[in-house]
Amino acid sequence: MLFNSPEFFVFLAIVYVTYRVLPFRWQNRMLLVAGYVFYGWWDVRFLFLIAFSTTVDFSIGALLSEKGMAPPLRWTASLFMVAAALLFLCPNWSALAATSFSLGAFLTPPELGIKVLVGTTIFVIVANLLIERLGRLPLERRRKLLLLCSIGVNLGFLGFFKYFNFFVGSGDAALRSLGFDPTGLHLDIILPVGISFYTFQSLSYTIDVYRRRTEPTFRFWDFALFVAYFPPLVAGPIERAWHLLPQLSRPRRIRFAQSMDGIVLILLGLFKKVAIADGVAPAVNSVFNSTGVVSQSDVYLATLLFAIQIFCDFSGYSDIARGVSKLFGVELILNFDLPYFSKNPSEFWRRWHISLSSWLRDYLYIPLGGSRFGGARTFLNLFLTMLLGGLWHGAAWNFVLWGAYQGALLCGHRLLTRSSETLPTSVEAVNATTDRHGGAIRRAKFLPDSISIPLRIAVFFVFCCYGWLLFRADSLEQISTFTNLLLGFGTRGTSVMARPTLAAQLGIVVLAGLQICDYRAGILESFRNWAPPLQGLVYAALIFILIMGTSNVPGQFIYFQF
Amino acid sequence: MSLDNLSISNSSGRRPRSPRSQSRLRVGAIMLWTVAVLAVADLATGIVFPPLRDPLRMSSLQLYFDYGRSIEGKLRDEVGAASAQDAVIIDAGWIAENCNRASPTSPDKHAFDIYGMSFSNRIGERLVQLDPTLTENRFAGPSAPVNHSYACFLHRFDSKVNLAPIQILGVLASSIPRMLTLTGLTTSFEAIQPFTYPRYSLAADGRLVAINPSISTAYELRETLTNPAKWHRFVNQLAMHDYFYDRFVFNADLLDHSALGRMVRRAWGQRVQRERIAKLRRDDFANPDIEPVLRAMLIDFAKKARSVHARPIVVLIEDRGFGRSLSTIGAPALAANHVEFISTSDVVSPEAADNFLADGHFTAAANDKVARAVLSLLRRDPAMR
Repeated sequence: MLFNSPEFFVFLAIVYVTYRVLPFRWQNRMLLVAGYVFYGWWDVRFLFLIAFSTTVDFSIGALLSEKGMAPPLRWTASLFMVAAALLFLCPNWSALAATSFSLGAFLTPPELGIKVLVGTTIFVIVANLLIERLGRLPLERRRKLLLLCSIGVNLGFLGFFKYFNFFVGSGDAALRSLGFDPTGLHLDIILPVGISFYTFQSLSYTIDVYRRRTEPTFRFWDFALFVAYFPPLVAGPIERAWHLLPQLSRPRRIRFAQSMDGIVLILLGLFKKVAIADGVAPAVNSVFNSTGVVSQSDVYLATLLFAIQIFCDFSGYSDIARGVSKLFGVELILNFDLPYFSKNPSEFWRRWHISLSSWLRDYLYIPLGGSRFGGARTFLNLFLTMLLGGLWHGAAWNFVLWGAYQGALLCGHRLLTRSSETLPTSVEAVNATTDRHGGAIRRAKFLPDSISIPLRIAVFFVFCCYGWLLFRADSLEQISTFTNLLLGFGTRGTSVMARPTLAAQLGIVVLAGLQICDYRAGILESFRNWAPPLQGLVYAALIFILIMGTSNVPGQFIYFQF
Repeated sequence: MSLDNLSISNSSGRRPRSPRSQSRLRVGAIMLWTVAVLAVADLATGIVFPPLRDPLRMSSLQLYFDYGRSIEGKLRDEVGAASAQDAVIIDAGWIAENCNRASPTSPDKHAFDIYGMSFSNRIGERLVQLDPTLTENRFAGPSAPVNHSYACFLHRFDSKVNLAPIQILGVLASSIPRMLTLTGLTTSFEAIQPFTYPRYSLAADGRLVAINPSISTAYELRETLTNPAKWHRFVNQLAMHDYFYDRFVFNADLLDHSALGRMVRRAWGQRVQRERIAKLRRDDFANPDIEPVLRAMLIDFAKKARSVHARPIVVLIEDRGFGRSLSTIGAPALAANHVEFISTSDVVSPEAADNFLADGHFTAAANDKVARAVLSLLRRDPAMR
């Protein structure tokens, strides 16, 4: 179900009204069912993956504590997993989409469903038997083993569904040259929507419990809701247990101001997605999907427009997710904080996809050693973290290249700022090591801020845009062709670029104006502090352009594929 | 009463508002301002970009804000007696009025009749430029589907007018969904194309059966617009037999008078159309109302052309966004029945953006490639060399 579809708003209205009339525990149960309906709208079968992750991580979380897992809890978790296999995989759900529905066809279980059901039942029995033995192990050994299990299961699923085709495809040629026939290895696996988001969210819980940074929950249904809470389910923000779980575990009070915040965020998110992202998409696609020769200006413009598209698409989703969640009295993590006003790559990653960059920092960069082991190791850790961050986005070489590029930018920035930091040219330069947002500038102040800050923002934006070219390109060959064109080499063709829609053109101007105001004021949605007539003007402009944008061809959110 | 107590009471004697009610009042004020600004913007859009009776005289922004006016609203304005002469699109494509011409004969020229749409017109035009011994007669409707082209040929065939020795039928991939319509109105609601044509289906014995529209000329259309009974008959027929008919998009109502309302209708119309086309395309048009009917029309066209000693040729025009689905459903039947044909996708990739102009037509270079391919097919006949 897409946030920008009419079905979603009907769904939201039903869920919201039901939510308001139910008592707390029933609210949670209803939200859990809503999460499963929301995700199952895309493909019911993959709900089993969510149920599997839920059961495994809940059980491991409980077993990581000294208290362990009481038998009633074990029964609940075990039955839930078997029931999920039975309900989500054994009916033939594709029969529902057939032109003529047949109950017989619906109830005929597919072979894979039966196999998974049998496998799940065996897994549950074996796991229950092992839990007894596990309880006899020394606590710390048991905890390490359980953590490895959680990481293995979560990353195993992610690896299989997301990267199997990629690695088999990439290794195809190599295997053939060694005399192996890899044809049988190609499984044509479908990528479940948002698998990277809920896997990372669920995994962070067990790691935090292992590190004793979060108390494990012993309420199975609260944890199931933590994994399947629908607003951030398919494209984030990637929530942390310490932030979301306590909000889900206690009664919530919906405040008027919070609901208003939610509505404004939903409006802003829809404006970004429907009016701008979907409005520039045809222009971007006309260049990047073209099989013919394109012009130099096409590459410049399409790359710039893709930078706008991906920001509006992804931050639009995050805004809607946060806004919808506020309607239920639940706050989600801020995911975007004016990223295109960053002056350097380090700042960019503090402002762009904050929930992922902080996840990578906490669960990858720091465990790798962070900056604790000196210069060379820090560079390696930075580079590796960004490389894997790139691979997280998708199983394709251009994402690996994009990750490597981001890693190289971070390393380069660190190298440059460190050298200037050790050679201050004047007392003023030393005093100027903190910018207006409290960040370290670490450079000599040759120009006044009014010139240097916009200049640095503009220069970094150019670097950022080239990263988006790597991200959006369809192939390594296209990256090479387009890079040559950007640098003034290669064969220049005629322009094939379609024009962005009028809604997108107007929307970009309005959004840029609002973001400049936010940056200058130092807060997000600063227009909300303006006088009512001015606010009315802003809302009317957003609504008017949004309605204009409803004629744009609606596209799936880009980050769904991740 | 002490002075201290007096100092905290306000001058009017009313209790101060709580922060909560102040916040609600502020939200209420903002909402009122929003509605007021939207109303002014809506009104101002209508004044600055007023719709005109003749769409050909409208600026692109005027058109933009007019796209969502109901089909009925546009028809009544554009076909209305006063502006009828100006709106050339109203008179385009009517079979009864445009498909009754005989093809002139010339002893030193090879004549061909080409049926289709703007794509086929451009191919025909280029063919004549490439080979001056050729002479053409074009029969086309705006984005006309194959049932229009077939009905046009049939109209001429049944009228026993003189047909050229070469009969070329152009089939446009993007017009395939229009095989399930009776008029250009329902699929091109943003810029109306009111011409009508029959919709065909297959009878149990495999014969083609036509559902003829209740309006068949521009004159009848004008008459129908002033006659409520005839108008209802036409609308009811569309509701029954036109796959793309949608009441909200078709019928005039109050939304026609609001720019925002028109934009909402436009979005709805596009959504309905997209969903219906997607439903048809899910199986690459392998739909019982499309695939067998298309084949039957192509084969019957060839059979009838041969019966009058004409050479039938089919051009499968695969435009952008439809891949090779037309070749997939059309080519096997044509080959099996020994009908000469070309698929434009063999010479011009439908996936390459640089083969197409911004309006979706082939570029001059791509059109040239297609025309040369047709010419080379024509020259397979020794008499043409």
